[in-house]
Amino acid sequence: MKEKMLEKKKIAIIGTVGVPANYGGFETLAEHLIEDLGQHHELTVYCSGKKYPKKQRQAQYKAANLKYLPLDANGIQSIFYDSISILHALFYADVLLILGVAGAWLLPFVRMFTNKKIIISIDGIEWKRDKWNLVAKWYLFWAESLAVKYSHIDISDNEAIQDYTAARYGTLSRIIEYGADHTLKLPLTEAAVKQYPFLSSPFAFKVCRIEPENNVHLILEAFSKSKHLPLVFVGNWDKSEYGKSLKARYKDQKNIYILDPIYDQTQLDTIRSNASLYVHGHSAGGTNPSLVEAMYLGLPILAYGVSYNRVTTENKAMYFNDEKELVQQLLNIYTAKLRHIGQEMQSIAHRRYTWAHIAKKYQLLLDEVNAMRDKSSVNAKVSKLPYHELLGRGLAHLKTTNTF
Amino acid sequence: MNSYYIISPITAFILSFLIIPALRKIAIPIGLVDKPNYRKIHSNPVPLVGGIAIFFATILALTLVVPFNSELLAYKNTFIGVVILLIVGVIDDRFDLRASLKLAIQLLLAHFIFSQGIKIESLNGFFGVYALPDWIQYFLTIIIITGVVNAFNLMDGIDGLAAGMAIVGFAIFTVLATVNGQHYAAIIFLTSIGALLAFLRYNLSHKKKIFMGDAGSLIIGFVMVVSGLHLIQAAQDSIYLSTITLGVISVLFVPVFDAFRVFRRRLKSGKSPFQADKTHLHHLILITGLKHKMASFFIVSMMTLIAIIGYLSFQFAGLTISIAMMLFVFIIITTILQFNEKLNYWKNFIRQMENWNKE
Repeated sequence: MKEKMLEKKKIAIIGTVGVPANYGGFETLAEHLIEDLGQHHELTVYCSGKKYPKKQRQAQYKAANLKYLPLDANGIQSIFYDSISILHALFYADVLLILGVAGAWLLPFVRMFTNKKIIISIDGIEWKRDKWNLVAKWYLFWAESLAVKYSHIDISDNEAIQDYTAARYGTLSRIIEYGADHTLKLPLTEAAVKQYPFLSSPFAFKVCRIEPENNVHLILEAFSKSKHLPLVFVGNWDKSEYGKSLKARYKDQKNIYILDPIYDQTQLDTIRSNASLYVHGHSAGGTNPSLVEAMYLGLPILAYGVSYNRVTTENKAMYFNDEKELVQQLLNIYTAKLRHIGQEMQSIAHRRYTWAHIAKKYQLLLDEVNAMRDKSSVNAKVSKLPYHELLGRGLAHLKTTNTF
Repeated sequence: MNSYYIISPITAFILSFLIIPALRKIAIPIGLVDKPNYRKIHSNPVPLVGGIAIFFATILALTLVVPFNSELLAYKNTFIGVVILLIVGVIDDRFDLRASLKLAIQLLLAHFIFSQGIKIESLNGFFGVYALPDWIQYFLTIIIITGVVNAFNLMDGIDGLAAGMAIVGFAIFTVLATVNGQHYAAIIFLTSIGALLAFLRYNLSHKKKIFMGDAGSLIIGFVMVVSGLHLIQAAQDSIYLSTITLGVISVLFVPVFDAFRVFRRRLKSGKSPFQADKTHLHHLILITGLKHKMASFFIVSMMTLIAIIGYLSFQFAGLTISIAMMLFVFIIITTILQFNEKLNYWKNFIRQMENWNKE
């Protein structure tokens, strides 16, 4: 019996491209979970064979077992990738830690026929993103509802999303953001200044995918009007018509530097570390890793004023809701204010956005899930009593608690 | 005789085409226009003269082209009903009548039609039921006439929809009437199509837009349901009875079942089934992002598809199964659309939520 208690719990991490991490937020997360949880749990990570050629594959990475599937982890194939991972994990795992909702259609069956514990991260609000077509949106919208209803614990990355899941499903979502302490602060080098002359004087910086939902057009227009501070903007400009037309329109502006994607991480980190201002135009769902990383570097943040960004920066950064406000903010910038905001951002990041902290939160959920049977609801327990019981006691109003 | 099939619709088209610009000019000074409100989708006042134009163009074309024949007398009851509904509809378009008064008039008209001998006498073997007792005949006929008239009235929400559905419906009716040997009925349906096509030309235009108004949708719904009953009744001894019954049902299917769907949904959410809202089929389709004309085209295609599926499954499996198949297709399509509507609801919810703490 005692031996059984001490046995390590087997955990399957599903839905990432894989480790060692070369890609986005989920992969970096998986990497840090292996480092911090690997000692006390038996971890298995599913990896995409499309991104790891045969020669690079390994059965074991640090404390984790790796399994490779010959599918892409993103796009339409992610449905099969996640589904097969989930089915495979059913044979051995105690807990399924699923990152993303693509395979969630299986969860009702997993709950019906097995005792596996399910923790699922629903990420941002993926079905709302402009990049998906209507059918993909329908699928993701449906998959999200299954993910929330049939998991033991669901994780969102932002308080604003927690509000949404509470309103839609009446359940309490847990919030776990991203870590940023893998980000390097690099000093200016002469070679860098030679290559990028704008580094020698103060500049604002932004790197993102060139999409309308990141408000690229708005930011460029505002900077071209204010002319106060130079803007360095890195992105995949040539990928869409939107990007191409913006590039053509603003490439001759004196204070705007439009750069193509920089694949040398050191170069990118050097530019980012030495910016005087980080402009963040993301309007779509959730906590953005790039924002969290900029905060960790102590950059002053000027962000689009949606609730996600306000929550991430604890309402202590500068915000804009439209072009006019952005111009206004740019004209009112002074050094002491920037320094103060930068310090604020850095202290928030050190408190909330370190991988040790994030891994600890996952650790707590893993401990909790093994002991739980039902999801936490945002409604009072009393509302679960039958209506006529409540009515008989003159308490029928408790049946419908409108929380919002 | 055969030449009337062609000349009469063309005459109706030309007459309708000429009458409408004149009526447009009169409509604006006398206030026979549709003013925008929160449920309406357009933003300028639009003349509500389509119904009047369709009526006069059709009747004039028939009287000018088709020589008088005693067979035409069979349709005098329908004609009287249409005239009364047209007057009621125009008054309603101008002054907004109380809904209860409109309903009372429709019930009276339905009673009148029944008293003239146009009625449902039998279920023709549907659910194994044949001849019906008198009182059931009466209630069923009254309910179906008023129900279809109102259901069709509710479909008239976006450009081209009611007219498009009426054109497809009358086209199917023309085939049924010809099969049944009712040549004058076939000519009347074709002539109506001619007038409707000219109306559609204006309805879909930007600069010279008109609507058919309640006057239009009430008379078209009335003609469709009464003609439908008449077709079935006239085919009682024909070998095509089941085919004709199915044809009539498939024409009325989409408006009637969409009305059921909307009523059921309102009842489920604790509202009055008659309280206006934005949950009709065309609203659901507009939410997907289709433009008006495409949305109308979608619904008319859906109606045609359902009719074809009904006909095919009738060939293989009989009337009951084919009605079940049509219902199945309808439910699948509306379920997807309602799912999309739900997605849209939460999208708007999130959009508001994103801005909660903006200052």
